[in-house]
Amino acid sequence: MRLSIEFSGGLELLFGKKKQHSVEVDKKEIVLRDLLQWIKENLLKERPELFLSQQTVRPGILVLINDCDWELMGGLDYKVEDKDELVFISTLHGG
Amino acid sequence: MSEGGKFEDNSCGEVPPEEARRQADRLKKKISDICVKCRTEKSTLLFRKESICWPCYEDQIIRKFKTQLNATRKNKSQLEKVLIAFSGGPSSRALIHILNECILGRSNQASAFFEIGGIIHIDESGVTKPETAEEKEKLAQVAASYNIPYHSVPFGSIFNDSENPTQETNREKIEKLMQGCTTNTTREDIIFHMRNLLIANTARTLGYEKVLFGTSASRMATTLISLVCKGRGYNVAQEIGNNDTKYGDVQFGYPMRDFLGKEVSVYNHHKHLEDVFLPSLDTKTSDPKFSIDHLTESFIEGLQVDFSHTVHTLLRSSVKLTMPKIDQPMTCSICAASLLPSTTSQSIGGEGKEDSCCGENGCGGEEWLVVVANISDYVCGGCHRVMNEISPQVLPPYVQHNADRNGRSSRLRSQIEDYLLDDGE
Repeated sequence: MRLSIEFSGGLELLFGKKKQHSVEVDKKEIVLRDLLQWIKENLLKERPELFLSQQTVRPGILVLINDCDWELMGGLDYKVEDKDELVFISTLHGG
Repeated sequence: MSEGGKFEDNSCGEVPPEEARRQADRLKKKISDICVKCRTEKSTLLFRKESICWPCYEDQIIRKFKTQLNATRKNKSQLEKVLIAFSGGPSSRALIHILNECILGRSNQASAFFEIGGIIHIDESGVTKPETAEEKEKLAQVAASYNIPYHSVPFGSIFNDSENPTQETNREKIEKLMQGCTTNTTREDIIFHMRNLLIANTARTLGYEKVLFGTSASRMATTLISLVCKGRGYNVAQEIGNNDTKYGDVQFGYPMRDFLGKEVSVYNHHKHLEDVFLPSLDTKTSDPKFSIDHLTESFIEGLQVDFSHTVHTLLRSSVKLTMPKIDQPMTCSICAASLLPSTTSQSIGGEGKEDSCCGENGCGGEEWLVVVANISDYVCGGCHRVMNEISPQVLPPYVQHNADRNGRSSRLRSQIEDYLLDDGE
């Protein structure tokens, strides 16, 4: 499936200073929890502890799925669909 | 990675089936598919535990903003021309946009009494990585897109001293100051206070009586706790009260103080407001104990995930704090905070510097006027810690000027003390 993933608020520094990522995930079905691991293994360039903490995003990082709050969408259990737009924004001081 | 890992510490032992757990979770968080405000649109966002739609979210933001904006006003019938402090970050970016919208709309009386005179940005090149031409351009572009005059002030200008010009460039002086600190906490601490002082001084020069900051609730709560940790608890009311009168005639206001960092980011995302990311000292650090500020932030954000009222509870408690009235106020030579009465009386009574004078009572002539004051005698509790770390030589010249002035007034006071009437007399 094809996904559009965006990192901002300083998070882009961990992803090669690139904000917009258009990626192809070679899976039919994937929940957000597993997608986070996929991002860690495939997109993340450095310091995974600044992005993930205990299998979820680090506190202070906001996640939007198709412009909706991820908590409304089921959080980590959300089943990611083709052409989804995911946005990760760090709200922490210093990124 | 095992999916069950997350539930290992589940004390009840039983993990309910996936779907049931999700339903329970939704019920607990009061998640509803339809906006709870307008009851027509599909809900897309969570705002203070309520699922609402974007139009209602925007409405809430504007409403709360106006309430806070109104709270910063002293004279409710006068038009106020304000300066906006713009760090480049999301909160101050949103502040510019929302205030501008309120003024253009003029739907509310409060906002009709404001006028944005200018935007000020402190260029911290040298403290952190120098700002690139592209970043400078982006910052100026934000102000230009609203037709607001833009002032970029280099952090180094805190070292400007017309009386004793030196060969060293300001950049070299910043470097010495930063190297002079042994901890990151002190570095962040003095940058914070000197930045605010610089903003207050520039505002005064430009003829403003009020500066608005974009400080969010999350940032405020972090500042509150870290101020206490850094021995500045006495000045909490002065530092983060809504009517910050620390800098005398220039008042600081915080109209974004009701919003969580996340709420601001959601707003900016929907409004396509691009902030300018400028790295700070703690950017990309993996050390959780990098500094007190950094540690406090992760502590509060961590709590906020499970207890969503953390930030607002902290702030609700802090607004009740007030500064005691002090007659003859003296201010800290470094950070301009009011000095504790005990600190001041101690420095008056201590007279540690008397031996640099003739040492006799009523020492003749004007000699006491030229004595170089010991900076440590005229700083607040928090800055004492700073002085323990760094040598006075690397501090900007204003610190010595302030200390000398404090020294003169305390000496003068101690000389005429016998002739003063106490309140009780």
